Amino acid sequence: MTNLIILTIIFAFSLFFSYFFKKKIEETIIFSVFLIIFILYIFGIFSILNIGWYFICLLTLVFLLILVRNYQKINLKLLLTCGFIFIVIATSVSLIIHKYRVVESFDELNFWFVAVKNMYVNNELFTSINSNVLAKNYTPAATIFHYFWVKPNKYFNESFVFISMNFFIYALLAPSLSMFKKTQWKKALLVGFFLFLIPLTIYNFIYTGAYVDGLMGLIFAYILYIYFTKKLDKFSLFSLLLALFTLTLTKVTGIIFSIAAAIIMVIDILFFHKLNK
Amino acid sequence: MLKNILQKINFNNISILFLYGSFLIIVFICLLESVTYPGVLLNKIGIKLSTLTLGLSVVYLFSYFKLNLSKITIKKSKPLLFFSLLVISTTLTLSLIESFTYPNFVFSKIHLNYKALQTLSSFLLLFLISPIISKIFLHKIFNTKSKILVIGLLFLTPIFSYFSWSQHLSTNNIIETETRLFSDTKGSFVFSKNELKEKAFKDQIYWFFKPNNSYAQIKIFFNIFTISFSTIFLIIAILFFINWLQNKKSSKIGFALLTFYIGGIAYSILITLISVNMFSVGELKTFVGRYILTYVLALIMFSFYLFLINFQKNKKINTSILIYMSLILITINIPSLSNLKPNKQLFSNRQKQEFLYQKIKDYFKDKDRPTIHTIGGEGPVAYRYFFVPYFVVSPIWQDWDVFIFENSGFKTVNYVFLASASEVFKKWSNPKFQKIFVDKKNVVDNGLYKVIYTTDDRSLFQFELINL
Repeated sequence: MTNLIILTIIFAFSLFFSYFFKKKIEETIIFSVFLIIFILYIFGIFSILNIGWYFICLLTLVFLLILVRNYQKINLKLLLTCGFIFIVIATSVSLIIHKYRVVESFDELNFWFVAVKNMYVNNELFTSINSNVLAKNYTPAATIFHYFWVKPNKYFNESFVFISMNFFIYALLAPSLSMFKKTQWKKALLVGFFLFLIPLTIYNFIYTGAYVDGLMGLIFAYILYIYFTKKLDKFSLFSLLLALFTLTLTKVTGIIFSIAAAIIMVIDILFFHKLNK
Repeated sequence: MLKNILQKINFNNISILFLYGSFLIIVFICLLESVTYPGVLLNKIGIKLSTLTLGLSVVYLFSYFKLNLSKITIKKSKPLLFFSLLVISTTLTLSLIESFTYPNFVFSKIHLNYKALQTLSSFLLLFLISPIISKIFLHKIFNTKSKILVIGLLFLTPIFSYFSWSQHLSTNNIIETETRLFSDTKGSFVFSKNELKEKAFKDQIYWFFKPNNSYAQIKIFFNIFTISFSTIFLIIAILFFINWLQNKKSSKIGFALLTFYIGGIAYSILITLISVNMFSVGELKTFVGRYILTYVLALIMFSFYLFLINFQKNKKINTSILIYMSLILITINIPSLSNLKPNKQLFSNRQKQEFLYQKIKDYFKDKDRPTIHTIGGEGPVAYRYFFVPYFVVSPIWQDWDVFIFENSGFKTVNYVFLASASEVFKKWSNPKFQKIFVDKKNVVDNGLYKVIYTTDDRSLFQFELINL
């Protein structure tokens, strides 16, 4: 049930932005993930994390109402896409494989999981005085998304942390499949499978852990991919800014990557005139 | 007469005068303070640099928004933008150098007061952000073709995200990692003091030129293969060259790769610099390997995306090639893929444990917030997680008995969780272990004990078993 609630919220957000910006849904899923993190972060730093979660639910209802009112204007070609099929299949696999998974690694217990559990129990960021986390100076982006996923469940279920981590990764990989047409779904799924395997080759525990080093690499690559391959319209710019925000707050070293990404893009703007093309 | 004079005065011209005047005065006084000695303004005219620049910044902002409301655009902002970026980047560089060396290093070596430059940079950031604020809020225009707007947003987003978190940490009295890192490393970044570290740093930095260097290699594919960083970068560079040959128009992509490539070297130098200061030589390789992999993954993924686009454009993606490539990757990743299957035995054991932990947490519900020390079992890190939100104070790197008898931190403890009685029985021959249990027969596995202090200074205590 929890997974259903969360996926409904994310897909409602993605559908709305797909309708609003006229973009394929696989491009708006990651946009929605970044936006959810941003909203919860704002509420979190004011110590009202749970209100942030209900605010997201309220937004979902508003978005759904707008979509229902304008259902005739929704372009189905933007929704039933190869990237969307990839996300559905990959997420279904994650739901099955993580059902009985428990955390084992020392480092994950020491911060990533204990932080989420504290946020779940206290409904505040792990920096709160009530939290028993030792490394309170870590940055919160990934744990905020895990909190978003575990929040509606009656008790703290660590398998949801693995599922949310996997979903985050799939959402980052999916936009690159937007180049495939619906008729090329077989090819797109093969490419999707290939994309799934690449991070696993470098970080062997990327799908079975909560470490964020691999995630940071994927966000960094996503930023450059969006900037260098997409037209810089409002949607791309907002996506880039939200991605930069998330990258900065994923880990302490994230600021190095986001500044590096910003420098690369600014040099391109100044010398290659991307904006005029 | 006064009315006539006022009518003749053009308030827009006055705003322009204030705008450029305040900008020039701020730049002038900051540069003046930078090249003289710190605090010269306070000494000579009795006003702090920051107070002066703050006041002038307010004048600047008012003038700016006044002009914007009158729909007057400020011309020739390009040189100002370049100047601002130059000053901000210089300040950042000098701040970093000073952080890694010792206080006043910059002033003593190059006689430049970079603190004054910091004030100037803060103002210039304000200068950069004003057109953005004005465009969004005054004109309600969000033009993605405006260079200044996009550049400003791209730079300011990471900076503001970072500072918002930093501010949040300081309001919660938490020391941020960077502050700890810089205060730990200040003064120690002098290689001549430590030859081993100097060698380790050089070995790591020269990875590009020495691919056989053990520091330059990482284990991939579940530790089966070893590959050097330079090989990875070289493969990607060759692939990009082929890509460029196919599509020569992609000079921008070539530029992206080049920047990325140089960035990779810069990043590895930076990470090594940090790790050399923070860790021992032995830990260096693991640390650097783990952090450089983030960059390597980003590089590989970005390269793959670009290839995908190029091949898709030229309709060269062949399904059979994709199948072969996937098969190769599957073969390489067999150990990692087998990992995807969860350990059901572990899950069932955890379920049983959780039942006990829940009973303990239920017991604590109507009590004052407990502080717990744990003995044996899965260790303090795991119990801190299991007992959330209650505090487990056992140190990670100290034996449980040393903590009880020799660490003053134990005086804050009011409950002890004994996960494994055998841990205690190992030391049972020592009478002090027998004495601390109220009932010597009740030393059991997974027992929760209340700590009863028998003296006011909490130096004497006993453990009493609680019936859950």
